[in-house]
Amino acid sequence: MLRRSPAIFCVLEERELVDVAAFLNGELRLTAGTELALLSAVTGERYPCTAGDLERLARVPADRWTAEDRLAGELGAEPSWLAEQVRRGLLLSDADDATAAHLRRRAELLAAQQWHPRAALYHFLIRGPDAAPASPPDDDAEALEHAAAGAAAFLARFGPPPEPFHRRGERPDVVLPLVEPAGEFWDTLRTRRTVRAFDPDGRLPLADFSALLRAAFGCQGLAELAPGVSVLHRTSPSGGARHPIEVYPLVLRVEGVASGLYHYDGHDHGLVGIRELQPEAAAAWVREAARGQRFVGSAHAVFVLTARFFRHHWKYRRRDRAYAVILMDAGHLGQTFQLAATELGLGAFFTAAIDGPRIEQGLGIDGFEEGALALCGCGVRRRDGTAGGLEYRPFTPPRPAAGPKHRGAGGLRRRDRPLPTD
Amino acid sequence: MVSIDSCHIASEDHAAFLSLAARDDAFRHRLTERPAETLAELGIAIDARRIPAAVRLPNKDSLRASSFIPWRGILA
Repeated sequence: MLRRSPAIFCVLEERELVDVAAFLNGELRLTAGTELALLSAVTGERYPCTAGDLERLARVPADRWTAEDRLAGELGAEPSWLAEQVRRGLLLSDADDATAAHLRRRAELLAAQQWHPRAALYHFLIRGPDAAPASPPDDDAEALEHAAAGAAAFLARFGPPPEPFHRRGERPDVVLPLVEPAGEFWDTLRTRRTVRAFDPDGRLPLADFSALLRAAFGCQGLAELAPGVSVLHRTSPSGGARHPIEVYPLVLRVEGVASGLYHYDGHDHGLVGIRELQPEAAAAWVREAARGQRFVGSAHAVFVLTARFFRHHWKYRRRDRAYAVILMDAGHLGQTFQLAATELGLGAFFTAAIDGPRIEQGLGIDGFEEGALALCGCGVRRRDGTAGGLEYRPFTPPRPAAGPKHRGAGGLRRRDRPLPTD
Repeated sequence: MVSIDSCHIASEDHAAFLSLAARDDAFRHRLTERPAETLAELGIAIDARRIPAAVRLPNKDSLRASSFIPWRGILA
């Protein structure tokens, strides 16, 4: 028996295609093409199709099972065509074989976990590795050179990017006083930066590792909204206080903790072992998890951020922006993590360039009830002080010279349009 | 991998292909010596009549400078 998956999307796409024949003749050439394709939230894959495929699929009921023989007759389809659509998750089958059962369970989970179909499609289409280079540069100098070459090539092909400052008018209507508060908190904010170079001989002190976990991801408070409905308080905000993000530390070089993969237990502030890995194996695994970003394997601890989707969707049921809020939650945690690491004098980074399925397999999670979103990592900084990235010139907003055209916060210049008032 | 017809690589796949061709000497050698077989390993079918008798590839520098290869950003 078969039925159509409820999570199929059809797109007509203009695409750029590499002309392989020209390539083999020494020429890099793209040609334009139009393609009809089906997108399956169940498999997270895209399948080029014909109008005939689409018309046939549209005739398969999604709300009830239909016998395969009957469908084949009604659609004029070969059994092999039907089997292919089952393999793609476009049709669901009640058969007992592993593939059919797996895809059927995924479709059931999408509904039961209250995913909005378009949000589910987006998440499951992007969770795998994309077309990023398989072997990105492996040292700082080459990475910067690559970035500079990439920027130059983009400039040549696409023209200049938008200006870094978005300025509406020649000068502000209200010139604000430049206040640079002093103190450790403000220094930490100002000195935060991405660090991708770590001391190869260093080990992360256990106290710092523990403090980071507690500060960035630990539970600081509990509240009961109703009997049986409790929410956490963390140092970062979360939509609806749902806090769906889980943390899996990968210990590479931390004093007093065996290298390997763990789950962070926020309730007891402890680690639950998933599997022990030698540091070299852990580094190799996380480099692959980060889609070949080699610096990630040189960190002393890496933290996988996952989401328990239903923790969030329990409240935000089938809401199209719910998934965006989950991603924002991960971003908030990443920033807090970086600030805490900076305060401890450590280097830290955050990356969303991950291979979701590979990570999920390593963590023993299915990707549907709980899925990987991002990685952050930290370590003792390299002794020469290099951070492994761009060096920024300090910037302070210029202050206009005092004069009649520039007024402080006490008054406004005349504008062509009236300013909105309450 | 998806091939649209017998000699094209779809856009989401071309960056990986080009990245290999820009960096991996062993891949370039195989592609030059055994193009059909090497492309088939990537799931790319090509009509044998479209393969030139003497394969020559765009040089690595031009590929690495090409904006066809996605440019990795540096988070800061």
